[in-house]
Amino acid sequence: MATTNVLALRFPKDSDTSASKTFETAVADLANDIDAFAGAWTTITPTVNQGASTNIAKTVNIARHRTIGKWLEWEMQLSITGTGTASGLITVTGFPAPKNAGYSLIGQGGIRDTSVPTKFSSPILYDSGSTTAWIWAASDGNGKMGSSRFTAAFASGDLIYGSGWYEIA
Amino acid sequence: MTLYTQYAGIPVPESTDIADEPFTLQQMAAAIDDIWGGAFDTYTPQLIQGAGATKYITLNSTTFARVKKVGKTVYLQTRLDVSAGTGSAGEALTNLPYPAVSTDEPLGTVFCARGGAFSVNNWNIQTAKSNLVTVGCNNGVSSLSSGDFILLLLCYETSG
Repeated sequence: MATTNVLALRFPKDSDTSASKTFETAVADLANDIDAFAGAWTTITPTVNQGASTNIAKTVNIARHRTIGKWLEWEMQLSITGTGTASGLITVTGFPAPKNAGYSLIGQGGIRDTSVPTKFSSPILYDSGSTTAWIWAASDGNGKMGSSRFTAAFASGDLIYGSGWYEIA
Repeated sequence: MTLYTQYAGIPVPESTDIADEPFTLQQMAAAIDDIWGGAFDTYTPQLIQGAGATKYITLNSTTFARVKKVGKTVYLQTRLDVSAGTGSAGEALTNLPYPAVSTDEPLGTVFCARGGAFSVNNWNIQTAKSNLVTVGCNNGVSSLSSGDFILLLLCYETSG
């Protein structure tokens, strides 16, 4: 039977009646593979940048994803412990990327400026262009976080977070 | 054997003795792999603003419209790149590849960028309107024009 078997499911074979693999075992293998879809998510390692400040120090509170074939779900919450660059575009890298050109909407979240304190809600876009990173966009007509809305430099105590899903390459 | 409701079209053994049908288990696994593991499908998007024959907005080739349907659940990730507007201000709408269960059903989020430079943006939770969904920006309903783009990320229950 022709199949791409993207999910690497253990198909029961036509001749699986030998002692090495009974039919019951074949069914159990398939059931276990399907059950794994509902398993624990996978840890990812994000990098936060703001303008000239790259790989800003942070505590990874949450950063994980679940990928089922071409479908990826993600969630993230990072506590900034380092320092960014004022008026610099905020980007996050280190996640699997979608294949489409330009901008794609991949989730929602925000940034908390602990100095005020203020929370900025934000749609989260993937830019496959020159930025090739995830960006937090402003939702009130002020461009992108870091370079426009929320122009302060990232400082210890700030928070960046979000969740979403998308089709990956 | 009573077959359960097959929302996702996964084949099930018909014999009462499952050991007689290893081939059907292969078919089940293949169907599951295809439904959950396969790439999204492409659908033909429309962007509508105003009324009359000119209400259909021309979209650039950079537009993409991707959808995955798993039984009653629809996942949609779409980008609408405006090539030329209609000149008619008003509520903007786009088609749903699969109808929502009801009108006013929350579907997901939409991001509207007026002008490629993110000069005027908006982010909303959108609701269904028959087989269409509103994508108009709260910051105005002036006519869409070249350079504007609309991004959708929807997850909803379908009646289809």
